[in-house]
Amino acid sequence: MSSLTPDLFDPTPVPAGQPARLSLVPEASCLPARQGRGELWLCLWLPQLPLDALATGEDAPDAPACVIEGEGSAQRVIAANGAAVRHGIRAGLGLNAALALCPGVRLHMRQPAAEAALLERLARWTTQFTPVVSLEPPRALLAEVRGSLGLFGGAAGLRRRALESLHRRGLYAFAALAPTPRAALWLARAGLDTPVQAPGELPGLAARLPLSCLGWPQATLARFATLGIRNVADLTRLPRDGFARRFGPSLLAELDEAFGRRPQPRRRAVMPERFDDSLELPVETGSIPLVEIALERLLGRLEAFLRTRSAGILGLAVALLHRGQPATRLRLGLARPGGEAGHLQALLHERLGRTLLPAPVVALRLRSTVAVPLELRSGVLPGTAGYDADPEAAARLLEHLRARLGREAVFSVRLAQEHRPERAWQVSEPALGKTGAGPFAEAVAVPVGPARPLWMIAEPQALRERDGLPRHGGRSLTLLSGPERIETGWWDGQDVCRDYYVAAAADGVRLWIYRERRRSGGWWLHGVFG
Amino acid sequence: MAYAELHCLSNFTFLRGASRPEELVGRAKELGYAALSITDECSLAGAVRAHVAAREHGLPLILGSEFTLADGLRVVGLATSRTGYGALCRLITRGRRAAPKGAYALTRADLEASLEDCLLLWLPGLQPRHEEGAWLRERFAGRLWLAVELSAGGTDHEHLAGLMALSARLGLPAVASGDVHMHLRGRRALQDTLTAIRHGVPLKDAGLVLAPNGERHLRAITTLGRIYPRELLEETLAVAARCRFSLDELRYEYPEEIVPSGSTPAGHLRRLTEEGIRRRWPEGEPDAVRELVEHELGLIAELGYERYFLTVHDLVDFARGRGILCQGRGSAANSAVCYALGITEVDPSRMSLLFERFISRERNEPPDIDVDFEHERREEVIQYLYAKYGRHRAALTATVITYRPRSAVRDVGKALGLDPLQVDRLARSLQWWDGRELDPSRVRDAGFDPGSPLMRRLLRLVEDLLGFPRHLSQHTGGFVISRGPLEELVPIENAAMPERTVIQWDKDDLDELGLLKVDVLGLGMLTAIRRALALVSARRGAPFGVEDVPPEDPEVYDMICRADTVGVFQIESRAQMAMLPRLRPRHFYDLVIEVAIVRPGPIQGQMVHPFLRRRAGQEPVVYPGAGVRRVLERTLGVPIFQEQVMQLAIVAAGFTPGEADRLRRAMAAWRRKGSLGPFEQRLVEGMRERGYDEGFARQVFQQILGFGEYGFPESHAASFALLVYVSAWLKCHEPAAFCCALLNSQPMGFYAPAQLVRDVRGHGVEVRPVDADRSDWESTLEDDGTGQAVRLGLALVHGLSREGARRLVDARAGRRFESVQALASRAALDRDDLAALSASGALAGLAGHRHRAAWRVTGVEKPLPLMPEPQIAEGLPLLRAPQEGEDIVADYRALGLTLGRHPLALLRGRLAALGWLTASDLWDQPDGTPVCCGGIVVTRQRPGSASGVTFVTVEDETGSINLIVWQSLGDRQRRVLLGARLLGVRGRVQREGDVLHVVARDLEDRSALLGALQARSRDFR
Repeated sequence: MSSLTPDLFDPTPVPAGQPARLSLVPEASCLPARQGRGELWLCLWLPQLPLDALATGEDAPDAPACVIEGEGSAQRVIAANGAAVRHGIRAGLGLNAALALCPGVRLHMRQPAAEAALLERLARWTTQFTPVVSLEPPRALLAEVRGSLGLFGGAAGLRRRALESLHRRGLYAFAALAPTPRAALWLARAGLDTPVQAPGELPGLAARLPLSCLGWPQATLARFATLGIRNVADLTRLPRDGFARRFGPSLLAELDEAFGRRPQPRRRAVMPERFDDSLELPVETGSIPLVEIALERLLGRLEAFLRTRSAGILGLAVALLHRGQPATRLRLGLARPGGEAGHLQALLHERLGRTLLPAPVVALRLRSTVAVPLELRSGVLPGTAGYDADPEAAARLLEHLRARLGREAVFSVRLAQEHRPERAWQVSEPALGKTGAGPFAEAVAVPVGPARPLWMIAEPQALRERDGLPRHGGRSLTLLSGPERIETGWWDGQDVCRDYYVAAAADGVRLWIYRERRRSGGWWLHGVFG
Repeated sequence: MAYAELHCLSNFTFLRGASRPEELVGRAKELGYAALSITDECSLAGAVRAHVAAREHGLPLILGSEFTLADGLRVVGLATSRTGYGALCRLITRGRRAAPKGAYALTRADLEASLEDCLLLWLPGLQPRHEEGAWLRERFAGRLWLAVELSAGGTDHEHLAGLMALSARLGLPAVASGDVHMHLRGRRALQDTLTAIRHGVPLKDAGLVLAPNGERHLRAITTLGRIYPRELLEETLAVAARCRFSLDELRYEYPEEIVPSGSTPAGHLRRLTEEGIRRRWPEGEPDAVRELVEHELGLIAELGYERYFLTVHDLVDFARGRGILCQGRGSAANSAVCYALGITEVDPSRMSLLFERFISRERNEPPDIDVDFEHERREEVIQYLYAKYGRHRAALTATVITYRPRSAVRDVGKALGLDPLQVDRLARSLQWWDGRELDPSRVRDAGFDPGSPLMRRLLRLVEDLLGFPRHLSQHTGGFVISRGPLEELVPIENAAMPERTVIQWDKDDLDELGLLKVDVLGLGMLTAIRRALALVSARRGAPFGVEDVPPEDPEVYDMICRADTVGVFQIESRAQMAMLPRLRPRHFYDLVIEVAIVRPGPIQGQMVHPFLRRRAGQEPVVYPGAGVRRVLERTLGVPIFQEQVMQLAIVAAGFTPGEADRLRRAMAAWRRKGSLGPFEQRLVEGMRERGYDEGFARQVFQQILGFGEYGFPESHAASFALLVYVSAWLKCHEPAAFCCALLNSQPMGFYAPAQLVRDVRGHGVEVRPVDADRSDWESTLEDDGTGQAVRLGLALVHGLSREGARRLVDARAGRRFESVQALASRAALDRDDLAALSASGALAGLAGHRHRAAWRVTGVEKPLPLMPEPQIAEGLPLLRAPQEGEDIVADYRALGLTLGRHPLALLRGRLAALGWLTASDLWDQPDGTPVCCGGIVVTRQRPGSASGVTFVTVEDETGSINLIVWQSLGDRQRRVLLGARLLGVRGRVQREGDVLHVVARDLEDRSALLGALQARSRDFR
C-alpha cells in the first residue's frame, strides 16, 4: 500500500504530506453519463412502519404507544407514535428510559412478519404509479417513475399524490425523488423534499445530508464523527484511497451508486398471485350437474395455473351468478395447501349437493387464496421407515366430514392436565400430525391417581341429604371410597374446594359425588361410572 | 394424643416450601406439637432461623434433610447427635458439591456410606417399590421407618392398608408424617405460585404439577387423629425422642493453631498486648489505659474469646507485613486491647467513653470485629486465609438473596400469566428507591387497576412472597473459620463463580451460634489513603503513615465546617455536607457523632434537631430521667448511637441484657420478619412504669425502627471517624496527592473524576491533560520546581485496554514517539486502543487536533514482520479543526472530564438571557430570595432517611449548586427530575451559615441546549 491510488477523475498524484485536493465526488460537470440518465427514483420512507404494521385497534390514537425490539436490558424503542414523541420518547431509547418518561406508554413487541407483509402490500399499492417497484426492507420502498411523470403532473405532483394517498391511509411517510435509488433513499431518510431530477444536482445537496441518513452501522458513523465529518459533503472531500483503506470498498461503492457513478441493480418486488377467473355458461341453468361441468373446466384452469408455479392454495371461493339476484357463494378451506382439480371437485360436489339454487345460474366465478409454494414430497417405499398409510387420507376424510357436517361438528377431545374435573378434558381442533397420523394418536400421559368416571355431568346436580348422607333416586347412597380433596383453581377465579367420593346407589350404579366444602355446602352429583 | 412432625419443608427449600421456618415453628407450638423437624431438601440453610424460633417458643426442634437420589429413592435423614449432625452436613455437602449451583446429585452409594447417628424415614410415594425398602432395611435397620403420608388423595384408605402390609412384610416400623410445605392451609395459593415459578410455566398451564389440595400444612392434632391410626402418631414421639441434637452444641469452635505450641491462648494474647502497649506508649502507658487493658483481658479470659482476638490479630499482622492498609471496626474493635494489637488506630485517649461497652459479660454474645482492607488488595488477604486454614476449614459465608418487590412482581406476574411486557413494566415501575412496601398507586401508574381481581391476587401474593429466599449467594467478605472440618459444621455448596464455595449459613446465622467469623471487607478509601500517603512519603523522602498525621488540626476542622469536603470519606454526601456547618465539628468525637447522626435512626427518631439546638446552646441539656444520664451524657441527652438505644432499653425500660440483645437482632430483621410488636409494648410500658414520659418512649421506639434499617453503632462510627479525619487532613494539606490518589482508586465515593478534578483545581492545584508521551497508567504527580501538578493517567481514557497502556508506557521508556505510526508499532496497539487514545486527546502532541489524530490513527497499518514500522505516503485531507464545544464534548465522552472551559461557559450568553444566575451569583442573594438558576446535573440522591426529598447537585462554570426537591414537586415533574442533563430551576435561596441550598419550586429540562454533550450524572448512590 505504499503507492498512491489516484483519484478516479484526477490522475495527478498528490505529494505526501500535503493536503489532498482530491475528492470523492467530482464537480457536476465531469459526471460520466455511464448510467441511464433518464432514471428517476421515488423513495417512500416509512419511519413508523413497525407501529403501522401492528393491529393496534384498541389503542386510542392520542395514547402514547411505541414498538420495542430486543431482549432484556437491550430492549429499545424502534418506533413511537406522536403522543409518545410528545412525552420525549424516540427511536433508539432504552425501554427503562421510555418508561421513566411515560409510565403509561403502551408497549408492543416488534412484529417483523407483519412489517414485511405491510411493506409488500404497499409495494403492490405502489404499482399504480409504475411497474418497477422494489423493496428496501425494513421501512422503505423504491420505485422508478420517470415514465409515469407525465401521468401525474410531473415529479412534484407524483410525490404529492403518493404522500396524500398514504396519509389518508393513516401512514406516516417521507418521499424523495432522485436519479439513483440510493440517493433517493438518502434524501427520503434525511427528509429532503426537493425533487432532484438530474445527477448534477446531487453534489449540491450533499451538505444537507447528515450522516445518519446513510443507514451505515453506528460504529462507522462514530468513526466519521471523530474525524469531524458531519454530512455527506464532508465525506466526499476525503481522498478515495485513504477512504477505501480506512472504511473499505463497499462504502465507497455506495457513494458511487448514490452519485450515479456506478449502477445499482434493484430487484423487482415479486407480487403474490391468486387465481381469479370466471366462466359464462352457454345457457342459463338450474341443474347442478351442468354447473359442475362448468366448474370442472374452471378447476382445470386453476390446476394448470398452480402447476406452472409449483404452488398450492389453502382455500377458494365459488360464486354462482344469477340474473337479478345476489350470487350464491360457496367457500372451501383446505387442511393443507393443495390444488388437485379432482379433489377440489369432489369436495365442492358435497357442498353443491346440499345447495338450493334461488335462480338459474348464468355464470361462475372462481377465486383462490394467495398461492403458496408447495413443498415437493418424494416417494417413500412401502415398508421403509417413514411409510405410513396414505398420509393424505386422514386430511381428506376430515375435509369430507367437515364439508358435510359443518366445521363445528367435527372436533377432537383431549385430556387436559388439570386437577379440577370439569377442566380435565377439553375440545380441540383435530390435529393432523406431520406424518399424517390420526387425530387421536397424540400421546397423553395418563396420571396415576384415583378413578375418574367415564361420564361427567356438565353441571353438577344438587343431591338431597338426610342424616348427613347424600341421596339419589330417593335412596341414601353408600360411600365406597374417598374423600379425594380437590382445592385448586384460585388463579382464574374458579377456585373449587370439594371432597369427592365414589358412592353406590341402590341399583348398584356407582356415582361420583362431592361435598362442597365452602359455606354453601351440600352434596352434588358430578359423574357416573360406566 | 401427641404428635411430632418429622417431615417439613421451609421456604429454604427454594420454590417448594411456602412458609418461613419461624412461621412453621410458631404454628407447631400453637398446635401443641411435641416437636418439629425442619427437613429442607438437601439443605440446612434455614436451620439456624428455625433453631432461634424454637428456642424462643420452647419447642423441641429436630434437624434433618430430605433427599431424592438419582434413581428416585426418597428419604429423610434426621440427626440424633453432634456426630449425626456432622454426617448430615457431610452428605449434603457431597450432594451439593457434585452438582451446579442450586442443584444436588446423590446416589445410593453416597447414602450407603453416610448418615451415621441419623434416623431415616423412607418416603415410598404412591406406588411403593418393595426393593427400595429392602435395600434400605439391609443398611439402616433399627433406625429406619416407613413414612406414611396421607393428604386426602381419594384412596387414602387403600394406600394406608398397602403401606401397613408393606411395613409388616419388611418388618419395618411405620410412622406418620405430614410432607408439610406450609404452616397454614391459607398459603396454598402461594405454594401453587412457587410451584409454577419453579417449573417456569404459568399457573393455568401448570396442571398436575400443582398439588391437588392444600392438605400439606401443619394440621391440628385432632384432625390427624381422624386420618392416622393412633400407633402411627405415637411412633412419631418415639422417633423424636431419639433426636437429641441441638445447634447450641456448636458454640465456639475456634481454631487451635493460632497459639504457638507451648503457650496458652491467654498467655499469648497477654504477650502480644504488652508488646503493643510498649509500641503505642513508649514512655509508658497512662494508668487509665493499664486499668482498661487489665479489665478487658480479664473479661476475654472469662468468656474464652482469646482465640478470636488472636485470629483477627494474625490477619491484621499479615496485612501490615504486606503494606496493606486495614482497620478494624465493630463492637470489640474499639477496645484498648485492639488498639494495642494494632487492629484499630483509634487511640483510647481520644475516645474516653467507649470501652465500658465493648463486650458485655451478661449478653453472652460473641465479639464482633469487621476488618476493612484496601479494596484492591483484599483478595491477597482472602488467599492468606485459605492458605493458613485450608479450604476445608475456611469459607465464605452465604448471603441469602431474597425476593424484592421487583423480582417478586416479575415472578408472580409470570405465574399469573400476564404478558411479559406488562410484567416487565410493572416491575420496572418499582424504582428501587420507592421503598420496600408495594404501593397500589405505583400499580395504577403502570397502567393497571389495583382493584381488579387479577391485580389483587398479584399484590397479595407479592406481599406474601417478599423476603422469601431465592438462592444463596456469596457474601462479600464474611469468613467463617472452624476448628475441625467445616463440612461437619455446616453444609458447603458451590457458588456461581467457579472454584468458589459458600456455606449454607449467612452472617446472622453464624452470629446466632457464636461461630468465629471475620468480615474481610474492601474499602476504597483505605486504598486512596494508602496511595496518598505513599505520594506524600515520596515527596518528603521519608515514610509518612496514618500515625504520622497530626491529630486535632484546627485548619482541618475549619475546612470541614465549610463543608469543603468533596472526596473526604463519609462526609462528602449531600446530606452530610448540609449537616457540617450546623454541627461544626471541632474535635474528633464530633466527627464520630457527625458520621452517625445523618442516618435513618436519629432522623426517624427526630433526634437531630434537638441535638443541634443543644449543641448550639439554644436549648438546655436535660435528661428524661436520672437513670439515663450516664447513657446519654456524651451526646447531650439525645440518643444517637445504636448502643445507646440498647442501654436505654435496659436502664429505662427494664430489659435484661439478653432481652436487649434480642431486641437488637429483631431490629435488624424487623423488615424481613414483620413486626416488633411485643417489643414495642414492652418498651413503652417498661419506660412508663419507670416514670418516663410516653412521648419519649415512643420516640425511642421510632428510633429503633430506624436503626433496623441501617443500625449505626458508636464503635463503627469511631473507626470511620478516624478515616474521615485522615482523609480530610490529606485534602487540606496535600490536595494534589489526595486528588491523585482518589483518581487512582476509582470508582469510589460520591463524585466522579470530573468533580474531583474541578474541586482540586478550585483549590489551586494544576491538573495536566492525558498525554501519550507523558502519562502513566495511573495519574501521577509532576513536580517541576514550581509546585506539584497532577498529570492525568491513561486509566481515565475510556476504552483503552490496560495491557495496551502497559505496552505504551514500556515502549516509551527512554525514547519519545516520533509519530502515531511509530507509537502504534512500538507499543503494538490495536485499533481500539489507538482510537481511544486519539479520542481522549492524548495524541495532541503527536498528531495535532483530534480530527487529524483520528485520521492518522484510522490509517495505521499493522506492522509486517520485515517492516516493523511501515511507512505510508498519504495525503492528509482537509479536516476541520474541532471547535471548543466539540472538544469539550469529546473530552467528556473520552475521559469523563474536561480541563477546558466548563460547557456552560459556552452557553452563558443564552442562559443569562433566560435569567439564570451562576452558582457564584447565588452567594450574593440573601436568604429567601426567589432565584432562577441551573446547571449540569452531577448527582441525584434520595437518602432513605429523607422522606422523599431528592437532593440534586448541578454545576456550572463557577461552581456547584445544591438543590432540594421536595417529594411533591419530584412526583409532579418526575420526567424532568430524572431525565434532564441540563436542569433549570426556579426556587428560593436557603442559607445556613456557609451552606447554600436552592429549594426548587419548578424544574425545567434545558438539555437540548447541550446538543451532543454527554454529561453523565451519578444517580442515587
